[in-house]
Amino acid sequence: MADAEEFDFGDNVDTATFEQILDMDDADEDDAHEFSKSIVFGFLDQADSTFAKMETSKYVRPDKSIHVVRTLIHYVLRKDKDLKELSSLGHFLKGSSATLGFTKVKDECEKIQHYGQKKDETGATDEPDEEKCLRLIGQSIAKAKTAYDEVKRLMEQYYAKLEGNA
Amino acid sequence: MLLHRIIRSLKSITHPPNVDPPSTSPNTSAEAPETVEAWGSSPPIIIARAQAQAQAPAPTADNPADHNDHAQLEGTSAHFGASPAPHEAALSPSTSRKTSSAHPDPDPHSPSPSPSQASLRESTSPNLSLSHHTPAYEPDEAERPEALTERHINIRTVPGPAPTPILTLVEATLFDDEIEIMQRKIWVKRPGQSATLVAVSDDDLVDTVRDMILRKYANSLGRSIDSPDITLKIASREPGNNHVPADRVLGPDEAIGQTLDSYYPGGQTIDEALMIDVPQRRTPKPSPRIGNHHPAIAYPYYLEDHRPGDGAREYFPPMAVHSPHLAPHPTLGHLPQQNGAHLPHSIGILQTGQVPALPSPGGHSTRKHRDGRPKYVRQHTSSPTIMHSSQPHSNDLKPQLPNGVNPPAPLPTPPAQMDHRPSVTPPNRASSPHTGRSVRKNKTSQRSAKSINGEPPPPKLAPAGLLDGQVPPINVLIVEDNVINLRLLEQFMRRLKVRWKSAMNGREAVNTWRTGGFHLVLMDIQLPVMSGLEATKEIRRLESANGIGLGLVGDQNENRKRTGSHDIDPEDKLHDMNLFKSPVIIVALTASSLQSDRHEALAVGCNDFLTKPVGYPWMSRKVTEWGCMQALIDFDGWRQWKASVEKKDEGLSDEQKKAKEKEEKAKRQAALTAMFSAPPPTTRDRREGENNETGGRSPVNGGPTLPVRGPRRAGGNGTQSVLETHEEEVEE
Repeated sequence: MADAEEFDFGDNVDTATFEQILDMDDADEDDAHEFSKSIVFGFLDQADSTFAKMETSKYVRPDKSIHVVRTLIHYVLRKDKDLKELSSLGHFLKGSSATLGFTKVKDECEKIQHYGQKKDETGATDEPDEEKCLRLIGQSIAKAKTAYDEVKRLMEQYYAKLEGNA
Repeated sequence: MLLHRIIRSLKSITHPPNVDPPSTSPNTSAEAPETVEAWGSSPPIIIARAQAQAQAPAPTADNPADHNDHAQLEGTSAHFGASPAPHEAALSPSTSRKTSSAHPDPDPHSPSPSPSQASLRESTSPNLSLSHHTPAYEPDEAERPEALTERHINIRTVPGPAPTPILTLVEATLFDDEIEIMQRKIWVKRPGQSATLVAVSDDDLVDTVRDMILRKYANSLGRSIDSPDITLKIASREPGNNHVPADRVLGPDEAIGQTLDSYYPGGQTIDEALMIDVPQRRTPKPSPRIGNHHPAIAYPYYLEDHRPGDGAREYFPPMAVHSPHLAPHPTLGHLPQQNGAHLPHSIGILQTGQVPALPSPGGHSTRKHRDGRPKYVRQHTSSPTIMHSSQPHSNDLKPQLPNGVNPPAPLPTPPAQMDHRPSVTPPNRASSPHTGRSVRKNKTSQRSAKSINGEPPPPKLAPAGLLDGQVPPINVLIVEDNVINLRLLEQFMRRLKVRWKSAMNGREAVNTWRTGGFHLVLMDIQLPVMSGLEATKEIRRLESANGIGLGLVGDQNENRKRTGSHDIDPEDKLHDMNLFKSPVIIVALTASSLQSDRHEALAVGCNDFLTKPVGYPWMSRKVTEWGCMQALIDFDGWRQWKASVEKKDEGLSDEQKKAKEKEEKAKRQAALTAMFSAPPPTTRDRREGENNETGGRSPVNGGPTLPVRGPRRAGGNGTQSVLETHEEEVEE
């Protein structure tokens, strides 16, 4: 729809990619934007749950620890597992956000993916300090969430506008 | 004495100015005094003339010339204390050279009929500037106070209407104390280009001249053709003379010195430079650069004066589309925007020796680059540009074949012999082709069409350039773990009216593939459980174990026995071999743009490669290319399917069709909501158990507007009613 060009997403959304999605909308149906809407909102849901999962992965739940030593072991093991987990979650969300053209979200997710692999944000050099990685992941999650909230808001506005016009 | 020797060995090369137009004669005499002066001021010149005697055809008018030469020589020799000898060449030391070198002349080619000094200078300057040395290495020669160290000498005709006073150039090459072979310098030139001198011995043959020419033109001719292939043409001074042909090709065995003297008594002028003829190559030749192995591609490239062509506009529209495709292409990233921009003029120059005219400015930004570039006479061809510039052509070919005939590029070779080329093509494009835009525009027009006349709109426009709307009737397997991407790919397939099935991990992909009937697999590389690469390997292994695609005609089972693949592991055995007519085409989808990943994918058996996010135009192109080829292989299957589709269509009225579609849509919605509410797969969740969930997760397969669906059954061609399928899916 031409509207995507008029609506200003700022640099949150890569218009070209997003328009591809819009292109896929079936024009002659009653609900003209059914497809793209489903994708977009599906993504939003997916992102919500992914972030939730990231949060649970990130923190050692205090109720699990009974014993100090066990806690430590748990912590160490979990950390490594968590890093991998977080990396894969990051990768996952990166894929879908890239498809939709949500670049800021994608960039943060990519960083999370790299940190989880114990590398620096570009993925080029190693970052052996796990604590640091976890910390950086925490920061990236926060940024990703912010970006995501922004995109969510924009998308809701956009579709409201579209629906309003249609 | 040295000088003596020099002078004695000098031969008068000066020829009578008979034929010369009355012009520049006074120069020479005028020069003499100058000469002397010049000598005083600059290292004098030596005339060296070796086998001048050998020049039989020296015109009879030698003598008068000699006289003058004598005079001059005497003047000079007096200066040097050498005794004049007969047949001494007139020394007209490159005074004029000296003076002229002081005045770098802008117009070496002018015939200079004016008797002015300037003309002399003009004509001599090129030579002179070429040859002007100030060798300082022989100061000890007593008899050469001013050192006969100058390399070049102009032997000028004496009073005579020399058109250009240079008759012949002789070069003395001094090595230590000796005067070496008398060399001769010959004017040669490429058509339309500046003339230059090549040095050969006077008794050398044309063959040697050719060699020297090649050396001089090392950058252009030297790289593209061989010395024997050069032709030298000599033009007669007297076009009217029937005895002498106006233009003649020099045979390699001709003594150049003799020939020149006979043609140009008095010396060859720069205008009489021998023409270098380079045969136009008709066959494509490999680029001078090592490593380029695409002569077939290079051919249209060379000859067409390289224009990207109108087709290229599709790939490089004027707008710069910022696409994620762009970002990660380290090696080929420069290709897109520079399609023709680097197109070296050098290619045209190498071929023809001339700078090709710039193509008229087109509409595009890429063309603008070229228009602004300076013209190069010589240029090294840089490797990336040739390699990459060749690609646009191969790609241009593709969309312009609307008849479904596949150009050789996307070869359906069995994994062992992969043609890597298809993989390097579309994924590297900077921007999507026009089709994306045109599709949308048509959509709007269709919508209006509908409202106008109430009839069902024509089928959705297939992307431009696609078989006049014919879609390859193929079966596609989509393997993608992220549900969003999966949804998008499925929508692509719906648009393309091809049947599809989906899988969410590698294991599932293999299992689904085993059910048979797939022509194309879109395989995401980063998958849970079993990675895309693993799945590919597995599929290829099974294919070879079962002898698929060995090109054997007839019953596959029979063939299998014949090829001795009877020892197939029962687990590996595929059940319905008729569904596997050829190895399936696997297109790898990955977010990574690393070359290594690309190579890895191709190495395990993928046929092609696309970077995510995949744009619809690329997808459609891929599907068309590979799909058409596959459809042709499985022609029977296609026919059956087509028949069944048509039969089904007949039975339904328009209304029923619409109702059916609505129903399908509703089911789709339900499935979607279910899917999206499911959490994203995590490493913990990803088990083989997920295998079983495909049914519930994937939305209805194949529900495009036309009643073309992706039947769940193996075989894919089954005629199932819509309702049946839905029921099954809902159950699952």
